[in-house]
Amino acid sequence: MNFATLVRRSLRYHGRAQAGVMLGAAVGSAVLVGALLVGDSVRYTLKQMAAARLGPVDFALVGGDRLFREGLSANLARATEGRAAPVLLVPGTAARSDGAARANRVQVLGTDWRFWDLSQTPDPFDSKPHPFAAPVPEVVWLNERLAAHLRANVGDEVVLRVQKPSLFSRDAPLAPEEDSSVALRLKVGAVAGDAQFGRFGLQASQVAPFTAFVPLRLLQTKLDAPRRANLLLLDADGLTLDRVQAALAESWSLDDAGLSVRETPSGGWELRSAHVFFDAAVRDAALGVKTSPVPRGVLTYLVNEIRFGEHTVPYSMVAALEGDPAPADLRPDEIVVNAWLAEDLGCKPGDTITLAYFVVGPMRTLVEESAEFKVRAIVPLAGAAADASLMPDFPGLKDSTSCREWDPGFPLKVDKIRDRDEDYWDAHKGTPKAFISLAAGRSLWQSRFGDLTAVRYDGENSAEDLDAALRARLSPALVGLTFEAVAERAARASAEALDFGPLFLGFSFFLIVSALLLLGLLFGFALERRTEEIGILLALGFPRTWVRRMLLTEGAAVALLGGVLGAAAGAAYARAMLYGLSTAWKDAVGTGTLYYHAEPLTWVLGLSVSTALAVSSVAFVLRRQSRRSARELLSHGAGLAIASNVGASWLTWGVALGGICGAAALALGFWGRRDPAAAGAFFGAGALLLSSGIAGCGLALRGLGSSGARFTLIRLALLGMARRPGRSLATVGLLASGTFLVAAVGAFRLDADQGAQERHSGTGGFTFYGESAFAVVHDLSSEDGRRMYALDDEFMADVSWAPFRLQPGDEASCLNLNRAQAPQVLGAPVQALAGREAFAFAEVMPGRAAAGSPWTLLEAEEPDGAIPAIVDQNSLLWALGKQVGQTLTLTNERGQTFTVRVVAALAPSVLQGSVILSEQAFMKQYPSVSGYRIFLVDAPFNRQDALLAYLSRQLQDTGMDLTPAARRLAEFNAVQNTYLSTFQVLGGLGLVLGSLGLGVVVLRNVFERRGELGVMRAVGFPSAVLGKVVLGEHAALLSAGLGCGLCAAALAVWPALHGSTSAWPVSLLITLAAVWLLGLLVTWAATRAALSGEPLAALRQE
Amino acid sequence: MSEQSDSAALMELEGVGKVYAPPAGGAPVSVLRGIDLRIAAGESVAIVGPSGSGKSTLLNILGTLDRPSEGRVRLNGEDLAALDDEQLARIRSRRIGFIFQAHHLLPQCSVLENVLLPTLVPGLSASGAEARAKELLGKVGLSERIGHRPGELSGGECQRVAVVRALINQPAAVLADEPTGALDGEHADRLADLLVELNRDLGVTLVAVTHAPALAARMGRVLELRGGQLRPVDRTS
Repeated sequence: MNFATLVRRSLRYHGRAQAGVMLGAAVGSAVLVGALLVGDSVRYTLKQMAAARLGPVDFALVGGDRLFREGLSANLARATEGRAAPVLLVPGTAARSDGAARANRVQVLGTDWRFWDLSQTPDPFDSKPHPFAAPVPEVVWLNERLAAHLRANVGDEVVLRVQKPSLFSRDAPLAPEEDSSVALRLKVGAVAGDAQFGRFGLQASQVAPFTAFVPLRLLQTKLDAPRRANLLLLDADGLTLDRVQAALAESWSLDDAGLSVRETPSGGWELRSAHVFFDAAVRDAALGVKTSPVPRGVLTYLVNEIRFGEHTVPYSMVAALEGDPAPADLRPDEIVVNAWLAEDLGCKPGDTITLAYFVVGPMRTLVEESAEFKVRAIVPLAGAAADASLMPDFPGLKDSTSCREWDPGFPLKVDKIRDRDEDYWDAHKGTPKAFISLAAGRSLWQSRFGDLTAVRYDGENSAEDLDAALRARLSPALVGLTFEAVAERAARASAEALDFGPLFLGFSFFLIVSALLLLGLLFGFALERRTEEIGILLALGFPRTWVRRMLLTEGAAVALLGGVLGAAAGAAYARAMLYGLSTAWKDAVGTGTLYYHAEPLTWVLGLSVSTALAVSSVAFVLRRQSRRSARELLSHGAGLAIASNVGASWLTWGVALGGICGAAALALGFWGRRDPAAAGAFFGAGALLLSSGIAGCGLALRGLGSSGARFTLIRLALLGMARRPGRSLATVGLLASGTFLVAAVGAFRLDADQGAQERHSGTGGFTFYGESAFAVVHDLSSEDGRRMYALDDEFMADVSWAPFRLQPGDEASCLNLNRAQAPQVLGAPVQALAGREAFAFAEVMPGRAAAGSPWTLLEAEEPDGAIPAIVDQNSLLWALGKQVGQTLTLTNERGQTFTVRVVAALAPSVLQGSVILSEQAFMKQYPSVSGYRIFLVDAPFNRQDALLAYLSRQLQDTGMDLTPAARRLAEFNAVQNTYLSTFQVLGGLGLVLGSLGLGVVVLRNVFERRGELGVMRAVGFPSAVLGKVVLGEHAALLSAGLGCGLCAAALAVWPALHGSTSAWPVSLLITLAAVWLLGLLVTWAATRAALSGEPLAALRQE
Repeated sequence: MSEQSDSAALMELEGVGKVYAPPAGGAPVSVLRGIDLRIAAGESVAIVGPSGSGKSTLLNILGTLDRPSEGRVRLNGEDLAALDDEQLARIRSRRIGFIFQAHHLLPQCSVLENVLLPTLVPGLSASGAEARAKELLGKVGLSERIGHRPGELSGGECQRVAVVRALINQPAAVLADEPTGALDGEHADRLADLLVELNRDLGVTLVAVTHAPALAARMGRVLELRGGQLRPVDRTS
């Protein structure tokens, strides 16, 4: 016989009593391990999704509106010894041909065998080079999400509408107004699953985008972009981003940047851009080429009218340049006119003529301005003055056969165009009619798109030399061609994603505590049944520490065994949680696809922690129990000494009265308010009421013990409650706290409809939030904008739009589980938002508090040159991991990084998910972004439904996805609300476990009182009456606990309940009712078990 | 073997036997065998015998806490065999009082409340119970302690409270199982005095199972249980 043998024998003998302890340890371990496994699974899922999204693609060159040569792909594949695929990626919409279903914001991918090769999928379009010209199949593959949304099957017909990429910004002066979208009616060839790149996308998200795959050739043809691509995917394992950039620098050509060197009529060369205007980088490089004579800049512009006195000439090109035909000393206020114009106007040198022209403001507002020039000279329409190539390739003009066909981006006054003007166009096309100095031209017509339309090289250079010189002065990044390390970014996005392990540990906290409590109760109960055994061991002279060690060893062995069993059950718990997240709690993760995954280290960690917690509980109980002496333990009368006080009465009274007064003061102080501060205050009031209630129960228990009242069965039951006031109060306190915790988190439930019409709410007082697939360049609030989309002036009279520019990126909202690496950026209409004081701010950077709206901080200058930004607080904290005052590094369209400082955080709003800059700052970083794609719409709420239907129909061609702002806010709120529901459900399970603990308390109480109950039975109490007395005692404790917690929680959630459209979730009330009923059932069962069988055994044992 | 009093029988056992089946299996153990016993009203009887001889079993059968394996039990001539547990409980609550070795007082109740506990049995009239309780407590010298809790009393006082509790419903018989077993010599003697006094003054039949010769000696009749058989003890020797 030794220590181990004794422990083994005890374990075997007390096995049944220890089974409950093992169960408690198993539940704790299952929940803890399971929660950690949920974290593993979500991380693994995101990794799998990233892999499915990008396949073997390591780098991506995203051109957007920049169309480069398809051949660049082959060059790069060679230069990197990797695999490359050219893709034409354009935004689009998709609809069933019967119009029954429609999807906006679809990414349409023009792909060929090289793309499918990357996903190891047989080329669905048979696009490999063929010795004979094979017809391009007119089919489309839809990804699963789009197919499901459209309810489209193989063989069905769908209509895709895509927007032509345009190098010439649609915001730029003289950009055509014509609808630049193209429709494709295609048969569905197949539905692409994850294995077929169906999840392909460049943005990190667990939600697959809507994707339509079409043959690259077909899309190139439809978009009038033969052999062009705007996305290049590169599989180049082991190469760094710098190495890939270097390979691009070796492989690119001017053509890839939309630049071309052409011969001029005078035998020289000129550099032109498909963007029409040269941006600063291209301009500086072009003018910096060392040639003799030096390069000359040209800026040719369309003026609305040239006027001299009563004579006017409409719509004429005017070139601003240096050199022939402009004299070298042409002053900024002088103009040279050709003979045709001089004759038409009747002017002569020395006369002053006026040029009237449009400049384009924000939202494509046209402002007509004018300037006066003195006629310096009249030149014949010949030589350098007859150079039609001075007119840039304005898309709306260059291929027109008559002036009346022009589409210069503003309404032409065709009645002003005379036959004479048509004759000029027929004979001389866009030959400028007048010439001014380059300096004058720049001062009149420069815009953010540039201040030159060509650079001319008049010396004896070869095109090749110029090409080489220009490429030497430019880099691909300067023209907007930069690779992104998408694989690395995806890995970071999933690795830094929200960790669901700790999150679910938090949700399961009460469940774990309940399991440990149950374990402690059961272990204590088992110990109580061994009181005499322990007493005898002590009496025999075993040291107290030895006995404690023996019992701890037993407890630890049971806890470890329970932990191992629980860890195995943890897998089932994790699977159950994942099932919940994929179904009922889907709003929290936004995807129905979550893969179960377990890391070995997680098992080890979970098992270790849960066992340590279980052993700690055992040790805690042991410490309390083993304080009793051998004499006490062996004495039959030990149970008589009961506490008569529950703590110090002054303290209890203080807590009871102070709590209720504090709760009343807080509630009255914040009565009627519904802001976050009020939610916090009411939660605090609820917590005070809870403390007061528990203290009140303590006082009541103490009062029950005092004599004087008539002795009845009810009093007997009440006295039973007061028998172990500490244990009774602990039961009430735990049930009350658990109920409060589970129910009161409802105070933080967000209700999007509450105050949705108010400007300081999360909707900003806007009725709709809109996102278009295609850029909208017109101000939809203006008459012109309404005209463009045939919007009825009267119907739209009280509707106004706040448009935002959009640089797509990772959604940095709580809807995205990934950590946003390159968040989407918005350019906001600062004055419009500030003017209406839209949205509430959760925090403004100290020292930056503006006199007016915090929105105006976006236009302030930061001392260190950082760009001010505003971000939604949830996005900032959870998706970006930053705080107000900190900086973020973003990348602009030239691949350069820039720093933004978060100067303020919005309270939860519809603008969640983006970094918001002023429109002005946005355009400096993303100058080629055309138009607006995000809209906040101010409209009467009472016409919401009618307007939604009308606007969705009228703006269909823009792919406008219009959502009631409150609904969008509710989608964001759903994440937090779902987390709260999860906590409540798991907390409810904890309460269920707690009610099982109550059963153990009943058993302990009855066991402790078995002698007394035996006497009562002996003197003739029917067992039913005894049962009622015991049941009544514990039912009262259960009801007091739940009632106390529920009342306190009701106060805590009062602002959320009162006047809100949302009610307390029925599930919560059902859970609490179930806990109450279960508690009663457990109490009844425990009472019955304790009193059944041999009720008088306790007496006979004596 | 029959042990009977000459007076009219309050309690009567006829051929009572009790057999226990050992929990671990094996041959059944016969504890009582063919016991015949008549106890007259107002009589005091001590049952003695070695440990494990079945004294408490016999007392429990007398007090309807247990049923015999064979034979008949009558109370005031009424055969108890046909009664169910609840009917037996009703009989106990009205006609039998119990005193155990451990007093089993409710620690949360006062002395008075502990005494009044049996009056709470449904169906009993509690009228006058409190006055009676106070009177009885006065008789046992606990008038000053009626508001005290058991935890504030000595072991002897607690046992006296248990005696009063046994008498509160004016039972015809009080059955005491080692009533002095947990008390020291002085307290045991005082309790024995009390029991005899109550038997004499109140006319309550008293049956006591005891190892204490002093207590047994003060009973009107002493019976010894040995080998499952009951036989009178010769008090002259």
